Amino acid sequence: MTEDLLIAIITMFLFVLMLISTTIIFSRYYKYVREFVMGVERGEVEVLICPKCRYANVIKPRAGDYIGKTAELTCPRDGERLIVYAMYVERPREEMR
Amino acid sequence: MIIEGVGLLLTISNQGGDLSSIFPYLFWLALLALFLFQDYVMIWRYSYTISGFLAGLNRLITTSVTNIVNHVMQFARAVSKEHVERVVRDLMEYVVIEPVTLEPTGLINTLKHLLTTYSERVESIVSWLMPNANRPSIQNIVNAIESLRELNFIYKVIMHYFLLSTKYKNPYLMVQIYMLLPILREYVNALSGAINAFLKGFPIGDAAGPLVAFRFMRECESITEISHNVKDTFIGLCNFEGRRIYVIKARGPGGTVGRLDEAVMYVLERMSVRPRLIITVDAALKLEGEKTGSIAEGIGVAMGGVGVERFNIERIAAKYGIPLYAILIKMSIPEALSAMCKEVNDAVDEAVERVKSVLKSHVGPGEEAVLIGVGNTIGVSQ
Repeated sequence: MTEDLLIAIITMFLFVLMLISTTIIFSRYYKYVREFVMGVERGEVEVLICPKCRYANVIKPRAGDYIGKTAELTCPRDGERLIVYAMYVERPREEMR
Repeated sequence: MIIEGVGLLLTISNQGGDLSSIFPYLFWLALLALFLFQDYVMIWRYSYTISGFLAGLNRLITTSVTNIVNHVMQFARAVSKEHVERVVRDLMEYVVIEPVTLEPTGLINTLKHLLTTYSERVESIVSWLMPNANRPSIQNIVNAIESLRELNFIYKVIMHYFLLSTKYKNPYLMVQIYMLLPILREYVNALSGAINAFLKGFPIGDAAGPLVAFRFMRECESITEISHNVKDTFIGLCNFEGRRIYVIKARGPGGTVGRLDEAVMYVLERMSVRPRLIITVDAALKLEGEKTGSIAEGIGVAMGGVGVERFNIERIAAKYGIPLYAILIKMSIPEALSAMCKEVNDAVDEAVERVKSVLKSHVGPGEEAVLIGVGNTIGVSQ
């Protein structure tokens, strides 16, 4: 009776262990696939500057913008139209090598 | 031997022997089975990971095709979505057959002819699909399709070796793919990032060279665009502290690398300019351990690709005895292909300072020089 109980406990333990390891493997796999397909969200930045006084303004990039484009926004200092000076992504620190 | 072992186990269990005495036999049997079937175990283990990678890559390709089709549909003529998808998938399978290299005479011209024909053909197909789109949008779609073609090629090659390995039960083919997976994954992610950047018209890391040209022109006292007949290329004459600098870059903001060699030939041969120096600025692949955005200077033409344009620039510079100076902005392949990162953007400012310093020290006031911003100019105008 005690032997049967021991075998049952070991079997159950092995079953639970397999279940946990399978869940971990599958969750890692799905996370991998999701990251693979969706990509990691990163902070895209657009820097506008005033060609006269070099006043800079950082905004989120808008569709159709490119470096060198004259933006709608004007410089608060001299009223000059700002131009797009830079567009880049800010990466998480752990990604930098 | 296995049959003997099983027979022994059955004997013990029939005789009502102690169960614990079976375990050593079981252990040795398991070890033996593992030894005999290790090839299958290896194949099973590696195939699990590789098939996961292939499934992810397949989904990535499907998602990218859908994204490109949706983008094309915004400007498409009256054709169905299925038709556009079919055209995109056909372009994904498009091949450029390398020229015969047994007779190398004129090989560079042949290669240039093939590449020009390829890019013009793809562009004409995309233009036909998108009659309402402007040229930068068409160029961006062409670039996205090229990245998709590369992704598809990787998928097909990996799938080929994976199936071969399974077919011939050869674990060593599978091991080779398995070992390459981390590098491939990085490259695939970079290409995926490139497709997204191209569709959005966002500058990529490779745009560092054209961006240096753009920012340098902003530092000049005056800038005049020179009219010419070189396709997709900008040539500007810039006055930098009394020096006449011809700035050459691909014409943005659409994704193109331009025809820089033809532009240099135009300046040197059609305009009869004899510059003191030709400076090329380009993104260069860094080694692991090198810092992204670090800058290296040297002699020669900083230019990647198949080498056709570099050859032509080297030849014309040698013909007129013009020194070639190179400035390289270091980055990895994923950084060159994906949206430009802050480190590269900051390095561009430093590269502009280096260009100014080189010009001040090697080119006197009243003299001429050529500055070439090499790379894909997506998201960067002039």
